[in-house]
Amino acid sequence: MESSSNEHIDYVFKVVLIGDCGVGKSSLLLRYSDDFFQESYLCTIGVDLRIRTISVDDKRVKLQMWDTAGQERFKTLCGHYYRGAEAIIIVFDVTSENSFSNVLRWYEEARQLSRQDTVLVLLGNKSDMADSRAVSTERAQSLAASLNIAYFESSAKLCDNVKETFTATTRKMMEAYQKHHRAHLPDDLTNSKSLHMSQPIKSSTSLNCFDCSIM
Amino acid sequence: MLFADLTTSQTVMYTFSRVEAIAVKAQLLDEGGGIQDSKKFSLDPDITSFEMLQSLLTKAFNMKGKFMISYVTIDDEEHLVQLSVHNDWDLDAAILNSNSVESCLKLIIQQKSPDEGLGDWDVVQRGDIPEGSDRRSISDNLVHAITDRLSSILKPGKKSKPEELYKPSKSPMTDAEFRNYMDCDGKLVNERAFRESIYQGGIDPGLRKVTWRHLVNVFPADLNGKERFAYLQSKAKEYAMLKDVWKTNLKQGTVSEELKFVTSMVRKDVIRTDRTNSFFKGREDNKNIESLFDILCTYSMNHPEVSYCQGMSDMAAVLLVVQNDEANAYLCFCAIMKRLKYNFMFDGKAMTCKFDHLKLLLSYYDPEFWTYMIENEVNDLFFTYRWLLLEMKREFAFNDALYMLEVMWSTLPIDHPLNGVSLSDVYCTCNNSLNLIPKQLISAVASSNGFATGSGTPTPYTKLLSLVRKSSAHSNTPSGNQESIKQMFYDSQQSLPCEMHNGNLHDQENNINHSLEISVSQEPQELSSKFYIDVVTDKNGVLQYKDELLNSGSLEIIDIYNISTDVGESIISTSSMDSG
Repeated sequence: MESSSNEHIDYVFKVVLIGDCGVGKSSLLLRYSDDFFQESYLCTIGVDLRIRTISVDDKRVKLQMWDTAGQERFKTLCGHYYRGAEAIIIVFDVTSENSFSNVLRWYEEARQLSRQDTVLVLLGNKSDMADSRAVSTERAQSLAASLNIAYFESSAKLCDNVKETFTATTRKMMEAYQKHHRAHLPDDLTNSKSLHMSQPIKSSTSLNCFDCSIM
Repeated sequence: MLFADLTTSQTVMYTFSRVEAIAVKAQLLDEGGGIQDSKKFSLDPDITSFEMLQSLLTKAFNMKGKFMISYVTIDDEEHLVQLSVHNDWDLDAAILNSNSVESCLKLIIQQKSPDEGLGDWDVVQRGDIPEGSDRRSISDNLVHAITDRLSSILKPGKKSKPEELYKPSKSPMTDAEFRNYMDCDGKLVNERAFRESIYQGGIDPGLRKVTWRHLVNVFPADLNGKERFAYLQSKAKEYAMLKDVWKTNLKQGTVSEELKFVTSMVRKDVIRTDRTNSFFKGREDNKNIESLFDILCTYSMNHPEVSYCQGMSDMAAVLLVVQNDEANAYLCFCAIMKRLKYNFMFDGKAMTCKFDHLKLLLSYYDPEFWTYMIENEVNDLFFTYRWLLLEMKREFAFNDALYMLEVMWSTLPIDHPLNGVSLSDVYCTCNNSLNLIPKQLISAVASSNGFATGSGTPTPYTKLLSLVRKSSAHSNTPSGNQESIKQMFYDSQQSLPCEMHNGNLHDQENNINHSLEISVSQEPQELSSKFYIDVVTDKNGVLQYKDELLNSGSLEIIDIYNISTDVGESIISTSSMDSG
């Protein structure tokens, strides 16, 4: 899509999507990475990976987006991915009260397992289904405010506000990164395990936007 | 070739035994497909075996050499289809369906060509071959490979394409080949060769429905065609009852938390399982999606230890597509879940073990690659989770996955369920009458009747129950043990003097011998047999094991489902004598 085999990458960020089953995590990622929507997409087993390279404020950013299974049973496995994440997007379905009431649980878990500088974001999906909406924007916003995290609303189906959400999240990750690494910028980051400020990454040639789903 | 019309003399109900006679009109077709001869006769479905029909037809048409019989019926999509008749079981099915086409059944009987096997391709219907690849296809398109291969066999002059990437070591198993593994009663006699053949070339798509039932170990050993038919019917009945239990609860609004969880989870998943496959395509009220929902809910409600886990829908969908029948798919699902359920369990132990095995294998066979993975911090191998959980099902296009799965399954040990596949962990059947008694109720009866002798000392009965409960809570015994356990049963039976069979007591140095009678019901019902277990309690009523059989390890095989109420009665009498 936007990446070529030999380009310069400024940041590589890991983003993990979590939330109840069927809220549209995979659909959001499919829309964002492949600009494609399928009404009845497969349920995720374990974790899935999608990659997209974007430009934000003149920086080239490679996003590794981890799609996790929503079912409780896979939690141990998925929790493993929280620690390496620069951002965790908690997704709920605006037509499902239940998925909204579980947000707090997801939030607490994410806070517990992630790093201090990990950006958390709340995302209400399926905003196109106005008729069956169960959670108002105001309620979601006030919950996000009480947790001190940003709130976005999107529709993977209509491709509404998906790109914007990821761009805004990326910007937040860049801010958080700079805040935590100001002392070290810009050169001595090659040893940083969690964040690779890198020269062109060799393996990226095989990990282009399409077909990068390894699971 | 020969065409035969079977006209039923009266309406055929679902129980074919009610039909007294069936009029048969048979037509012999020549090689070009024209009618060569035709005959009319009638047969009694109750006594006519496949063999008799064969000899009847041989006489009627003065047939020389082997010939094949098939009948014409209507499939689910209202198309006329031809199905082969190879054994009594098929014949029963033919008779059952004899009213489906203008109240008569058309049989296609074919003189066996010298090149055995090709004739069978006639019976493969377009609908039997799942539609083209809908996802990433690894071996381009297997169906094309098969049809290309077929056409190269049909036309020996034509050379196969040079780009043929994948070539199985033999052609897929056909009807004719499958028959070679059976005896005249339709008993699968050469099972090893049957599995080896599948391993080498897979199965003709039209034959999967029947062969997969054998492959996934649905049948107890040594059933003939007729017995298998009865077995499937009784299992279908049992399934209907199990399904009815939670359906009724839903209808009456008595919805437990578990049922609420299961139905909502399953609903979310069935509408996104293999929907690109024509079988599940279209609207969400597609009846096949509903069947998948019912199978998964019934399984989850009857296996609380497993409940519902994402991924199970993928496995059930494969079986439903192949079986094209809800009850049979459920039976097959229970059979494969006997092996796979640990993967789906909450504790994740089985999956952790699988990861460990894979790590070991990888580090041993490709240390260089393994080092690379460690360097890149992917040596947890979590990316293989889906591969392992679903036995690679999702990594192939649907049709390829069917082929891959049957080849893989053919390498698994033959594991005939001793008494048939258990359809439920919660209910047991009593006295073969298919009355369903919740397991909890049995234990409740045991304790409420005050069987305990003295101050809470366990009686043999309560001990037995607790052992059974314990064993079902962690029944991790590899099923391969069944054969040896079966042997132990027989051994114990022989070692017992006959007078002890009815729960007699024998006082010997203050120890009391009990003989517990256990009825193990086998399907079909005639095969029911009884086993006797010898146990000893000391003077305080504490259970001392005399027989190895009652060690918790060996008791694990006594699936509660297989214990009929006879046990209860037998033990009740033992216990009451004990206390008196």
